[in-house]
Amino acid sequence: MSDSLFDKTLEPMLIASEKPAFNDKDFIYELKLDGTRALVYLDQDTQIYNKRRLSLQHKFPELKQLHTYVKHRCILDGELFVYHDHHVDFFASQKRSLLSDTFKIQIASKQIPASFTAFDILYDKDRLVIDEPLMKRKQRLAKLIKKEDQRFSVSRYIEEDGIALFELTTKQSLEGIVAKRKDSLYYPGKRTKDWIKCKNWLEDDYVICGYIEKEKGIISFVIGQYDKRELIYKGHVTMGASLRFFEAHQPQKSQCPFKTVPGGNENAVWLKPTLVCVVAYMEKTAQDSLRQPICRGIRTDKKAEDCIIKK
Amino acid sequence: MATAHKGAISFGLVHIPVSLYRTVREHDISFNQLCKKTKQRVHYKKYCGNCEKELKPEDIVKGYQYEKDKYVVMTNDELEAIKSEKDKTIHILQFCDIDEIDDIYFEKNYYAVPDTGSEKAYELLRYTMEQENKVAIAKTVLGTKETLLALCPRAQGIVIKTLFYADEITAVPKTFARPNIQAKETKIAAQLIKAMSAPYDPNDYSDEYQERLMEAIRQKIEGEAISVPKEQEVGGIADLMDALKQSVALQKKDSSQKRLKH
Repeated sequence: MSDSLFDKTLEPMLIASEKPAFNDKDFIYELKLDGTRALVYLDQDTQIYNKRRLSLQHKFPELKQLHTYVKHRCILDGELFVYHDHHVDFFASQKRSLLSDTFKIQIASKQIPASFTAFDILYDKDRLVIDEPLMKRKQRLAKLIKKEDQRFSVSRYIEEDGIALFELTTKQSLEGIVAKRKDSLYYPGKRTKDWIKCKNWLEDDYVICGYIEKEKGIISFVIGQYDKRELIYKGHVTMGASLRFFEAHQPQKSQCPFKTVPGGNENAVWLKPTLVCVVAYMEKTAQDSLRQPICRGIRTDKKAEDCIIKK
Repeated sequence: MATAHKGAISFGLVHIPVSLYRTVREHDISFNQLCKKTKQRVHYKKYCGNCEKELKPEDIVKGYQYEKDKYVVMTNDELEAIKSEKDKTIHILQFCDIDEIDDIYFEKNYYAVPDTGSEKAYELLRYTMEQENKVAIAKTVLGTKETLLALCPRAQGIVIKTLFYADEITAVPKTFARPNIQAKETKIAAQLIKAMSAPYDPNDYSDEYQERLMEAIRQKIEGEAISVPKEQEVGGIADLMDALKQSVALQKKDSSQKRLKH
């Protein structure tokens, strides 16, 4: 099709703000599934693109029949994810996105198949519908669907009770929820404050062992935790506040407190390991490093020696 | 797919930022060497027979063998001093007709995709080359190698071909006789060629050895039951979403009933 609206140059609308969960009758709430954001172009075949317009369909051969789940040609926005053992496994879908060996992809697609959940529609049959309010688009999406199964589903939503839904996601160890304003329009490629994410963060305390200055006076802390008496390197976390705020705590310069300088830290300024910071993160990887770590601030009521690796 | 190279096409005063992507993917199965007994991966250790010990990276230097057992050592500083400047720009040096390049010079292909904001300049270059029936000859540093390129306009975008340098191409290594051919003979050969001619479709051919190998491996994996999932939780995520939705509705009913009682 040489329809210019179908030339696959659209980019999904992104979430601009994050807040604690809230109740509001002008909003709907749905699950935030932790995978890869994707636009799917369904016509005679299925074409899947990530938010940077990179083609994904050859990495997910189990999803090549998505166009058979809808009544006619459309562009859907949704999340591509791996759901197994009652849990949304971000690392499994990320691992798959990085595979390029066709044979390994085939094996993975059978062993841990991915799914797509649609939550929005951009193009319906013969025209763009991005200038219609969200609830109208949700109706279109519901009408369009022929069938659902493990590979393809439509996102369920609730009205008003964001807090209750969020609390349930905490119990289920899901990533969180997204609140969407009912009358919001769809602006492809833009960040919108009409969509708000409410995420389940985990928190832990780490020892600040040094810092690396990035551009524009932004610094990353080099953090560690104790395993018995030995300080173990735990990666980096970006400091939200300015260097000046940090310097007010008067850290003392020192030698590298780890046994050996961890790779990538050759330019670090090392400090006496006395300061403790609170780090929020999504989850830990199999190698025990943190996903999306954020420094929440410095904590003066805890001793560095008490930041212990939890096993 | 991962970017193979990021740079900008430099064409006169215009600068067109592009990303290069590979045009081919590996289809050969590769094996790892394992210890027969423990099935652990085999590791290579760098070892010096004279010192009788394993060498660390800092114990190793680069030497060029100019004669048997004779080496000149080149230090990293010496090599650094003569390295091509890490210039990722794709400098257009000239244009020519595609037919002027003997295809024996072509090595690898890349798709050049314009970065956001440079689509217009990119399309202008592509379209004009197509109209003029020209390709651009350019140079860049790919990895650490100074590489000669041909930028070719195609319907789907610019395809960049890496070119061998003239001194990399060898001549036919051996002479052979070129006997005269009879007209009668060419006629028969031409008939045969005609009879065997068909439109070429790359999909008609596949590597049958690789396919048999993949099938054998696939059967082994499935045989060893490395958890091909039990056609899992019926409904999958949809069931979970419905369950959560119902719980919220129940809670709401509960709390409104409580309110009524008071």
